Amino acid sequence: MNPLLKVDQLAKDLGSFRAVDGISFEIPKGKIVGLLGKNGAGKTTTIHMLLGITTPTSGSISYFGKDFNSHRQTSLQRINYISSYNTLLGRTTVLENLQIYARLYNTQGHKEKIRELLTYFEVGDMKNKIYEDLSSGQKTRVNLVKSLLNEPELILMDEPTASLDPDIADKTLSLIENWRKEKNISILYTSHNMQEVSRICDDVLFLSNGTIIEHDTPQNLAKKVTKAELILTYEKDPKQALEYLQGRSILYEQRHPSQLIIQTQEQDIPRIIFDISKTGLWMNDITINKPTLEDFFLQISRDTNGTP
Amino acid sequence: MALHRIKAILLQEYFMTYRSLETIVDVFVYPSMNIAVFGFISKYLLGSTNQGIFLSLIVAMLFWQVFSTTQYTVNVATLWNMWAHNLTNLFASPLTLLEYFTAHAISALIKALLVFGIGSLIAYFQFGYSVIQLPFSFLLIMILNLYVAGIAIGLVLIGFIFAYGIRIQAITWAFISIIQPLASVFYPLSILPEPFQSIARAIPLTYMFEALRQTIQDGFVSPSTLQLLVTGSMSTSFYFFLSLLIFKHLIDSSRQTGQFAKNDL
Repeated sequence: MNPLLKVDQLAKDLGSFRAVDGISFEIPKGKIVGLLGKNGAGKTTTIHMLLGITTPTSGSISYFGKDFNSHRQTSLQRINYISSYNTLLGRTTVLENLQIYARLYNTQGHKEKIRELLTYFEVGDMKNKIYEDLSSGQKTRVNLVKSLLNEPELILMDEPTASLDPDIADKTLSLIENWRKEKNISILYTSHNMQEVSRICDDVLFLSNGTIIEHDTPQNLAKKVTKAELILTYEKDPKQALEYLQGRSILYEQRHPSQLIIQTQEQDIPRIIFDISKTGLWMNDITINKPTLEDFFLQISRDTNGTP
Repeated sequence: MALHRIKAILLQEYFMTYRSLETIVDVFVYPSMNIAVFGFISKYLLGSTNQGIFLSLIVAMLFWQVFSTTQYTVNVATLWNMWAHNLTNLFASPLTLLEYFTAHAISALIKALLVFGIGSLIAYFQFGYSVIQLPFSFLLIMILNLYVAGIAIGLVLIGFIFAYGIRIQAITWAFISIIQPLASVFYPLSILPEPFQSIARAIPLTYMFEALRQTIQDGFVSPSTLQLLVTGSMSTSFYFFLSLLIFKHLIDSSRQTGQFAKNDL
């Protein structure tokens, strides 16, 4: 079965700067693929090439098994786009904006479709409001309605929740997740928010200096950071525990007399807890901070910056 | 080209026009006021001593609105989309540039004819001149040439904005005030200093407005006026095709450099 989107050796030079350097990836049906990277890593340039707004220097893009360059209109009819950086016309109402896009996409029964989507995204009562008078969260949900008018099989989402408060972002994300489950759509999702990416993406492409340096599930990428943090809190001075850690040259920090923060490999944590508990010390609390996708992001960022 | 997408952009134009007081003022109020004020000043200066020049000035101002309204519509419609950061959304849909600008060309024609109609009524009721005194074919050729010239200039200017960014948007307003004195809109070409006459001869509008003055003066289209119309029309056609090439080059360059997308961020 053809992937919905296939990118092969895509590159973009902006003057003497190589913004995207020969990236290749695929998006299968029903998958959410995250495109992660620091600012300037090439995420937005990639999205713009995927929309045909920026011309690639080399490489190829194909949607639904057909070359994008020669099937631009049929491809764009089956995909859609949303970005926190691109809004709709500010002076016109929500309904007027959506009517324009419904006609652009030749949406059949567009009045009913717009009503249904506005209700789903809980902005049905906003339809006659002027777009620029809406809050950021409402605008994002109206933009989501716009991005679903043509019943796309694939949506390119460029940091859709970037300007939202955490609770509104969470709600928006839930709506996207539910819609994806109901309609089995695919999404290419860029974000700086690692929790968001871990939550909704099946796969993550890690972009650095225009190249894909990692491609895996969020869970597997997080596992690549082997260091974890173990926080042990005691009733009194943990003298025996300190002796144990020093005897085995395990790195630790004592920010509080009764608390030890131990940096170690994730797989060593059970053994350390077991060994220390044998010393007879009473632990009040054990906290394990496992590596997350954010830790991986920070590690990669440090590595690519050349900083320790 | 898909008709439904052209209709969608026309619908956008309609919404943008009636929801934007600036556009209503720029497209309908200012041109009408220009014609009225220009007429009053001309009447004050010339009185009844030189009716021919008086009429030439009013009618030239009337026809100038066809050119300026067309150019304004083609440019400002796109600027509104850039100001709203909506351009990427539009071109992420199956909409093509040809469909987009065809819709704006249709919208520009409607607006230019409306402005011309309103201006004609002012000229008739306030100054007693009816444009239908001009031969119909002459009227048609004048409007068509000024409309096509407005599209050509509009395309080139918006092409430059696509290629070099919204920071040069002032050219859409500045260019028209540069071309107006050079194109001898309100006075004969011979009034201009010699070096500027050479520049004026390279502008199609110059021939059209020379032809307009001659027709008003003669009361009919003389062979020399016809010659001016033919030269003007050929020149307009040449510049129109040249503008398409320049526009295509600027759009391609804008997509190559990534500026097309940057304009919308």
